[in-house]
Order: sequence, then structure tokens, then C-alpha cells
Amino acid sequence: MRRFLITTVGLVCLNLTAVAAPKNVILLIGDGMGEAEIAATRNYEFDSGPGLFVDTMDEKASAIVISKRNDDADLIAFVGDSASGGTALATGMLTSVRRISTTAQYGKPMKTIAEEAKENGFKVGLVTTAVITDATPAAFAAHVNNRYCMKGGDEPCLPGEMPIIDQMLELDVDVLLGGGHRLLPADKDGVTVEEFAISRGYEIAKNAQDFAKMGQGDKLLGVFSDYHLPRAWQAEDGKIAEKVTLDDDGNVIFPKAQQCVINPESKDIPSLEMMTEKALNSLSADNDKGFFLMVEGASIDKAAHDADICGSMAAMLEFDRTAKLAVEYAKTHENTVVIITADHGGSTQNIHHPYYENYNRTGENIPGLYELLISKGGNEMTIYYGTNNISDQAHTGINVPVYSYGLPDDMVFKGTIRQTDIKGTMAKFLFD
Amino acid sequence: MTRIIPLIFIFFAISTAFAVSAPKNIILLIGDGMGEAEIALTRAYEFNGDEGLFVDTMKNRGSVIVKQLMIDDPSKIEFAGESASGGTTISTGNRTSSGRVAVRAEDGAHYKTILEEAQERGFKTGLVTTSIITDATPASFAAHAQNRYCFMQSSGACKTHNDTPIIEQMLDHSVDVMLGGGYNLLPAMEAGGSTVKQKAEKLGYTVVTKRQDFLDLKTGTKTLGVFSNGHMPVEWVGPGGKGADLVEVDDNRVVIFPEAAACEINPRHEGMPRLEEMSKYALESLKNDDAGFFLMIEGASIDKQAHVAKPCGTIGEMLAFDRTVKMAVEFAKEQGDTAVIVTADHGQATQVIYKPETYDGSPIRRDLIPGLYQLLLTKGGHELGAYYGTNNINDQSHTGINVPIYTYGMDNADDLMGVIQQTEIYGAMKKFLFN
Repeated sequence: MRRFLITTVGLVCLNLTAVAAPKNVILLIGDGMGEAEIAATRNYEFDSGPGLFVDTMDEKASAIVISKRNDDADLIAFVGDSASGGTALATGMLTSVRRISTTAQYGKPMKTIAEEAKENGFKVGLVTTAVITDATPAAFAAHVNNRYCMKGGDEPCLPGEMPIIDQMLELDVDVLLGGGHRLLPADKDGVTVEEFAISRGYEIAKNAQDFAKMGQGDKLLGVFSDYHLPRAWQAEDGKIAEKVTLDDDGNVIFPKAQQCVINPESKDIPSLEMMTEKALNSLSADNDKGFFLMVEGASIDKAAHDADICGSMAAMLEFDRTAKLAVEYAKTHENTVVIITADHGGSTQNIHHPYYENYNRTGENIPGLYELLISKGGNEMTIYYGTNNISDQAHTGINVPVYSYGLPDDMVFKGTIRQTDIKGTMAKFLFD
Repeated sequence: MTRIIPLIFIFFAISTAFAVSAPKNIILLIGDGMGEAEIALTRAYEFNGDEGLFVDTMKNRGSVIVKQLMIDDPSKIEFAGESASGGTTISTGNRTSSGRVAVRAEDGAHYKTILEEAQERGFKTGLVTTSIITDATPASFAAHAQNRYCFMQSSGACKTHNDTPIIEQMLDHSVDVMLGGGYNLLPAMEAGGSTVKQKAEKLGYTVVTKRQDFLDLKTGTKTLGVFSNGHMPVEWVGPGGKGADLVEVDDNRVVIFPEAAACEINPRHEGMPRLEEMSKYALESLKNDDAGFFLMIEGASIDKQAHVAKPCGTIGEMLAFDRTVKMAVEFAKEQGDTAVIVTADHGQATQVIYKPETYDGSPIRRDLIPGLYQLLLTKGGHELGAYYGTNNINDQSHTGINVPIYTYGMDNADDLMGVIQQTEIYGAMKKFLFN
């Protein structure tokens, strides 16, 4: 009896809101935000106690990440990159690494959630701390065979293939915020990208002053650094993790524990929260249909590639604060769903402290890149990158977390899911 | 409205009556070193990345923060775990430092374990593992030691802190069913002047060392089953018995990638009871109409094989563990009032990678893949790269990554959802079992 009443009330409410309120999805992608990168940040900033906003989210699932092989699309690679992961999230389909919403091996375009949103009259925003044409935002608003086909004249563009920035502007993505001064002077059919954007009605911002005033235009294009935005933190010695040095007996000399300090280059760059807030304000203004907003914390991954733990953790913290901002927005705006996930795992490892083997280690015990940090609470922590000793740490094939807020009960992600399941749920929520 | 009230009353009356009479059971399954990477490796190998593992179907899933205290200064945290400290955290709700079994890091004071509390309340208890039965994980439930390697009188590790040997403590606890490895424990002398085997028999245990004798046992027997010298042999080995290794290089120091190859059955596992068989026996033996039971089941070698960079070993053990979880959930479904809790004590160093690539297509050299690598051919014919980069000579490191926790049948399942501290598992088990 009581259940019947509640259901009736629920139905009435649903009917009322379905007509009245716009529907919004905010998808936050922590690039390379595996459990290891989250744990390292939790350890450093909060000494593994409470503090991360994502730790307080009740709805948490785990997504399986795989990709396809480009030499044979019937074969699986059990590790993804940002292009294949972004494509999986944007289209619900698997592809191979470096592909932007095109099929593995064959290169056929696959429709994205952002394109469907535009077709259905929703506004669309893409915000990132990477160059705005980087793989993750690109996967939502472009289709190319190689993620590095970013602007006219880029070598990886196939003949006749439209570069990512041109496709983004032609799709009329309503808000584009991130890095990429270098995109603006590029050629777009005889004019510059900047001129083309202005002709499409974009308001353009290139620095913090522009950004502060930004918001009058219907559509926003903000790029605040030449390429990727600078990372907020660096180690106090300015170095990344490195090979341990050895004494004359071949035993490891453990390095001094470092703290992370502010990277001066990051001053005067709008933060991810500020950009997200700007996007939310712009996308929600005079909008009775709703919006799809993708927000990327790009440098969690980029810093991990460089074995730069401080850069990675600062990006994770900024991303976490942005997740909080998005959920608070959803709490005060009806029919707003927040989904927080990652495209793939990174190679960061938090390994045992030197004491564990009585400080007696040879070089072969620590073949990779090593950094000792001192956490905010004064605990020493050992960060390790072991997949590459020269240039570029690998991605790893590990499940990534999926947090959600505001999804209807029967749509909440639970247990273990596939990364490709997320797009269908977003589409169902927005368009059904 | 008037109709609702009596209904509620009847409901209450029924549930109260139930609470008094029905036994409650916990089946706690610990995958040692079962981090997301070890699970992903197994899922990739056996199911081509599909959600084919039984644990993948468990909807109640949380994530557990793992850490331990520093040995030389327990006021400080170490952000990576280990089996003794992890077992202690799960069994007692307290953090300790590595190597310590259910004792306080500062002074060795004993922490009471969930198994001890269950026994005090009349529950039956069991410990099942694929390691030596005295290993850190099972020991953390039924013994207290400052040094986890104090297995028996002859263990040198007993001298460091004057610990009582773990096997003697376990027998004195009268744990109803103990199954695992370690027939080398049986001839050891014990404090009373007899052997461990004699002591066990005096305490009413039936001691078995052979699989067939074990399978012939009547369920309900108080059993000490130890089936191997030390840890039990694992189910699978790598291609040609090999594990991950440094990649080979040619004369120009360019990496020659190995051919992908499949895992093989370990011939040494023959004659061993499987984890499911041991667990099934334990479940049937512990099932009772009184208070209920507490059973801990450990898949021990997920971790042990990762330490030695043997991905096939880890995969075989992970699959055995996963099958055992399925069996436990089926038991719980049939039995009712049974909580199944599946988690790990700490993460491990395993990483799933593919083949390193260079952006400009230049050759791959050793420094681009400095650790230990093995290319496996999965069941579905895909290439799967397993990588261990934390150590090149003896022993991969544990990692401080969160580990999963899955539950079935807990009315307080919410206690173990989202992101939790490992210390919270103990309280949730107590709440389920004793409230």
C-alpha cells in the first residue's frame, strides 16, 4: 500500500520534471587515473585518510579497459591509450590505440555521444588541461585515424582528412577550454583557425585576463598555453623519478625524501575548476534542453608518462576538486548526472619503503625509476615507475574506477562493467 | 492503514524469532596479493577481457585502502601492505607493521581476532589455504606472533621475540578444520614433548596428508589436513615451465620479443586437493544448527607467484580462487544467513602492458623495457604482456594500491561499499555475525 503511494508520487514528480527541467551529463575523465595514481595522491596529501572527494562517493564500480589491434581488428590488446579509451567512452565501441572515434583497421567513423547531443539540441562542452585537440576531447568531437592530426598541415593527417580542431569547430562545440595557442594560426581552408572560429561565432580567450571576462559569446574557445597546460606541482629538486645511484659496493644509495612544490609556470593559468565552472555557467544559460560536458584531468597521465609524481598528484587533486564542484552543481540542478572515470591505468606504483629489506638493495633490486617523497603528514612514501627507463612509461591494462552521482537507480553502474557500457547509459539518460 | 500494522507486527515477530534460532555464517575469502592488476591479467588470459570471472558478477563491490605501520617507528605509516599486517588488519581491525601476526606493532600485545571471538560465542571455525597452514594469512586469525616465520619449534624466527610456534597456537585454538600445505610441520617437536602430529591427535584431530584420504573423510571430522612440504604446488606454470624474464636483445641491443605462448598445467600439482575441494569439505563440516561458523579461505599463491614474476602461476591460482568464490556464494544462497566476503590483503607488482612502442618507430632497446616480461597467448588467441618491473633478481614488491572487496548475503553490505579503510572489514563482520 505504502509502496504504491510512493510510486505514484514518484511518477507524478517524474512527469513534472521530464517536461520542465533540462537534462545534463557531466562526464569527468581522469586521464590515466588508475587506483595506483589515486592511492599515491591519497597517501601524499591525506596520509591515506579521508580527504579525496571521490572517496566519499557511494556509487562506485570498476570498468574493464581493453582495446583492439590495428593490424587485425579481431584481436584484442589488453591495454588502451587515451584515444582508444576516449573513443570507448564517447561511442561505446572499441578501437585501436591512436584512433579517434574511427574503427580499428578500417577507419570508419563512429558516432559520438557529443554528436548525438548536438543533433538532439543539447549544448556540448569540452574542457581539458591538455591541448584542446588532445585525444580525450577529440574522441567526442572528431574522427581521425591518428590522434596527432590536430591541425592543418600536421604530418599524421591522411590526404583529405580534416584535422581535429577544424572538426571541433565545424561541430559547433559550444565550449572548448584547454591549451593550444599553436592551433590558432593554423590553416583552415585558406583562413586561420582563429579567423574561422570567429566567423562561427566563437568568443576567444588566450590568457587569464581574457578568461576572467569571457562568457558573453554564445560559444567559447579558450586556449591558455602553447600546448598542454603546465602542471601545478613539481618536486622540490625539480627532478622526476630517476635511477637510484649505487655506492662502491654496488648497493643502492637511497635518495633524500622530497616534497612537492608549486610549479611557477602554472601561475596565471586558469585551473580546471575555474574552466569547468565557466563551462557550466555558459552551457546552462538560456538552455531548456540540457547539455553534455566532458571535463578531462589530462596531466595525471602526462606526468606519469614522464615519471613526474608531483605533477601527476597535483593533477589528481585538481581533478578531485573539480569532481566535487560538478557533484555540487548536480545537487542544486535537477536531472544532472555526474560520471567520473578514467580512460586507462598508468604505470605508477607505490612500493615498499627502503626499510623493508633493511635498506640493503642492489641496483638490480630497483631496475626502474625511483622517488622518495615525504607526505604532508610526514610519512615517507616510495614512488616507482618501472616500465621504461628512458622516455615514456607505459599504460597498464587494469580496471579503472567509475563513480556516479544522480543516475536513476536502475541505471547506476555497479560491480564490474565494461568501459563501453558507459556511453549507452549516458545516451539513455539524456535522450530517452 | 489498519491492515498494514498487523502485517508489520507479524513481520517483526518472524524476523525476531529467526534471529534467535538461525545460525549465522561468514565465509571470508582472501586472495593474497589479488590487486586489480592480477585480476585483470587473469580476466584477459582466460576470458579475453570479458567479465567472465565470477567476482565480476558480484554487484556489491567496494575498494579498500591498504597500508601498514613502519617497523622501526609504528607512529609512521608505510603506504604498502604485506600479508601478516594485512591479515591482522582484516582479522582484528587494527593496523600493525609487516611480519607481525595479530599483535600490536609497538609492543607485541595481542589483538583479539574475529575467529577467537567467534569461538567464544560458540561458532565453529575453519582455515583453508594453499600455502603452508601456518603462513601469515591463516595465522593472523588463530595465532599471535611478532615474527610470522615462527611456524614451529625449530624455526629460527621463534627466537627473535620468544614467540610460541604458530602451529602449536593454532592447534591449541582447536580450529575445527585446518587445511593447506605443510606436512613438514607434523614431525616437529612441540612444547609438551611430543610431535605436532601427536599433539593434534591428542586434541582430537584427524590428521591427513593425502588427497584420497582427505576425500574419504566424513564431513564434520575435526581435521588437520596438510598435503605438501611447505606451500602447496600451484595449478599452472608458464610455457615450458618459465616465468617472466629480461627481454633478449640482438647484437645491436635491439629487443627481440618472444613468441607468445600459453600457460601449462603444473605436473607437480597432481595429487593435491584443489582449493574448491578443501573449501567444500570445510563448508560441509562447519555447517551447524547452533551459532554458525566462521571460515577463512585463502588463495595464497596469487601473491607468491607474482613475487617470483610467474604470471601463469598467478592466473591459475586466481582462477581456482574465483571458482571457490562461486562455490561459496552458491553455498550461501542455499544456506541463507551466510555472508561471503571476498577481498585481498594487499596489491602486487604485476602490470599488464603490451609491447613498448616508440613514437618515431625507432628500435626498442632494453631500457624501454627494463624489468621482467612475458608474452602470453590467451585462450582466445590474443597476445597478453605480463610485466614485473620492481625487482630484477629475487622478489617483486607489494604495492600500496587499493584492493577490491566484494560481498554477498550481508544485510550490512553498505558498510563495505564505496572506498573504505581495511580496518573496517573486521567491524562489519562482527556486526553481521554477532548482532
